[in-house]
Amino acid sequence: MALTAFPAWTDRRTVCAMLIGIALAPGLARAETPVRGGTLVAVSNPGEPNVLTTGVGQAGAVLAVSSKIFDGLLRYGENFALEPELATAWVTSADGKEIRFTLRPNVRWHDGAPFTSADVKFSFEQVWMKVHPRARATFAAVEAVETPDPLTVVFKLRNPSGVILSALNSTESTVLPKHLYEGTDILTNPYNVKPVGTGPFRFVEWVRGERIVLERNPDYWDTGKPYLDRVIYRMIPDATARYAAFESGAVHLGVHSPISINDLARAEKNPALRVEFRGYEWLGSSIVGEFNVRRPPFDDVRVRRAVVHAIDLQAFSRVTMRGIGKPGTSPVLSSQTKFFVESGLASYPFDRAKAEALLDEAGYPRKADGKRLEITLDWLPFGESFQRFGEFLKQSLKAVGIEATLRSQDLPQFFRRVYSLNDFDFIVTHHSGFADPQIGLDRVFWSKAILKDVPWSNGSGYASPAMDRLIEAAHIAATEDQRVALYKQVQAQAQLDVPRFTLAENRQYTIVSARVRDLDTGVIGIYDSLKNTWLAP
Amino acid sequence: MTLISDIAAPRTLLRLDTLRRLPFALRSGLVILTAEVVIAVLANWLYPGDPFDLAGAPFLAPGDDPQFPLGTDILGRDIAAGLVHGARISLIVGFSATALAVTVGTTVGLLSGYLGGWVDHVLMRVTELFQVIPHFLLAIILVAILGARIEFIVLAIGLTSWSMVARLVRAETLALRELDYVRICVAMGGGPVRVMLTHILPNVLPPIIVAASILTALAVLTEAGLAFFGLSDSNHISWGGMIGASRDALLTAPYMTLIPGLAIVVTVMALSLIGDGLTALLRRGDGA
Repeated sequence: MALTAFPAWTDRRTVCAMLIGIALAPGLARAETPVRGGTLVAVSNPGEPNVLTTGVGQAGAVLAVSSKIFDGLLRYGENFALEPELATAWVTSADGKEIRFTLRPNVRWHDGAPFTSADVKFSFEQVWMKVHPRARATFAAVEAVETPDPLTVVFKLRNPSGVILSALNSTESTVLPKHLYEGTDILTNPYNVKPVGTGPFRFVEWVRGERIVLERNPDYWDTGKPYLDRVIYRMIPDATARYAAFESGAVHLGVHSPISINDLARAEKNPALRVEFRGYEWLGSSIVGEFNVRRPPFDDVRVRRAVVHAIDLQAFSRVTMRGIGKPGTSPVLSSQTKFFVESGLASYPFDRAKAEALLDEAGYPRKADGKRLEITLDWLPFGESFQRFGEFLKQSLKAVGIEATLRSQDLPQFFRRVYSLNDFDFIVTHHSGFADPQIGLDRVFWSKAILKDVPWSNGSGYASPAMDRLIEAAHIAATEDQRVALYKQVQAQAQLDVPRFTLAENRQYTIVSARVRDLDTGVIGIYDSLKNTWLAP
Repeated sequence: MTLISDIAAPRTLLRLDTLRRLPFALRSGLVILTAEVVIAVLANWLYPGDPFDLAGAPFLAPGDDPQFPLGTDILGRDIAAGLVHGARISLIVGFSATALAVTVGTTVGLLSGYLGGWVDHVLMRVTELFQVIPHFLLAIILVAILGARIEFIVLAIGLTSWSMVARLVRAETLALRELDYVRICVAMGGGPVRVMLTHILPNVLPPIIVAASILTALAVLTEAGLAFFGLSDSNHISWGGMIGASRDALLTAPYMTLIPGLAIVVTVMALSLIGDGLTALLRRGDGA
């Protein structure tokens, strides 16, 4: 192949030789000079976004696109290192009750309007605190946001808060343009689907069901960047078709495990593709089982514990995730070392006899047909793998006399059933832990997070005064050490009451063409803006 | 009508010389289908327990482990057990949906053809409505709305396939009602219900039986198609469901989809052979 290609490339022989050299010696790749130009084609996953700004929608597919168009005040590098983005400097006062941000000068929105501190204040007050599922917990300590001048933003706090600086990236706290959103209904603003940001790429068009096209922002503040001319997101609903698109080179990038786990080994062997497991640390993805604690049988903690005892979590990871996942022991992921409690939490090891004893005790003896009780089991419609999780759980429960009926539905129906009608028994779903439990855990364990119609809130209906006391104490903890200690107690309480439990710590993967260079692999690499990324010819 | 009783009455069927007189296609189709029905009936005896049980290590290819002659699927379910138990669902859905389609179609066709007039007009417009909508799309929509449960899948397939039977029965009825013996019966005071049931229905049965075998084959295929799109009852194992579940592993473990796929091919082929054989048999009967 390469030999026959040479004659046609005679005038570029040097280039070819250089490329071959690079391919042979991966160590040299670091020294490469980025090449300007080219179109990077990515696959939108999971599914197609419903809006294109994370200001109003937080599904994974929205985060992927929005992060190319918007900047955050900060960005996160390797090991959660804070890096400047729209803010060039940030200073926390000695008493911890004030954070002062200096904004980057001469930044313009894609429509030419200047970016100022007023945009940040507006986004905080009208967007984050009003329509975001997690911001109210994240910014619980914030008393006011002040803007002494166009390039300074000051967060005034009631008490020191260790979480705020972990949530100021472009996807978690998106700065929206005040001049386009002020006085409108934020959730229905037309710019949600034709976004105007400050980021390295501008929105061009969105052909529903087919593609989203972004192009280079020529006025980007980071002069000379981005390198890519265009980024196109394609919608390919079938996992096998997505794999074929990667293999043929039609698609260069896909995040959130874009191909079936069964094709992973095949992708790893393909020299034209790379499998990247880094870049998901900030997301903290896990697979969880969640009970409806509002009604029988799962209003009884013994039944909930029996269910966990009945599931072989080792086998769950080995079989349904083909060994790339890891059994869960706490609602916090083991990768969040600062908060994770390694041992001492209540645990429910795989023990069918124990499960049966607990069910007997709870008043669900085996009937003549061997069944103890019948429940429904809904799986989050995030692809085939969740159906596999559901099937695995159904079989596990059957062994202890719990007959689960699997129900499949589309995402809006699932959200409606769980978060609007609360009409479910047991679900298998996804949980994002994020950088800090205050962002990841409050929304599922705090009674004030039982929010009707808000997906990813406290869907189980779990309300415990003891848990609420811990969470609310953490919000006003005077020192970071106290806050961390309280979140360790939150984990203990959660494992004791088990309104939900971690089935497995998920390990997601990115599939990327070998032509893609300098892809960000920091803690939130999958939602990087791609400003440093380039395509080798 | 002796021909129909030849096929339907078990007494004559069991006699080898009668069987030998049947067209080859019909004979082979019947043998295959009977074998499948026997396997489906004996499923609980052949493979006791739940076919969804995670019986062994996942991704065992056929022959890897003598305990699982056809291998295991993504989650380690025994494919042979799934195949045997899945035969039940595929056949039950095929036969029930056909029974539904034939009942509705025959009733509509008889009424429409015999009564004529405005009844005919109304019923035929309704029939045409069902004929012009793509059947598979309508089935998808019905199952998506009603829910992926086995009774709804039968309903959806039945509702989308009766129109062909209705047209067929109507055409036959139109011809039959003009025949002398029917007119005599009417002249002797036979009411419409009596005439339709005793004189017309028995004479339209042969084409209905041929149509039914084709419809059953289509129903088995439609069920598999729905299951492939995830619209199968996940509480019952079916061949289509097995294919849908293994689609993820199409590139790495094609046997998981090929084996149930082959079962569907064999079943549909058997039903088509029966249909062809019956047609040949009836034509031979006409000539005699």
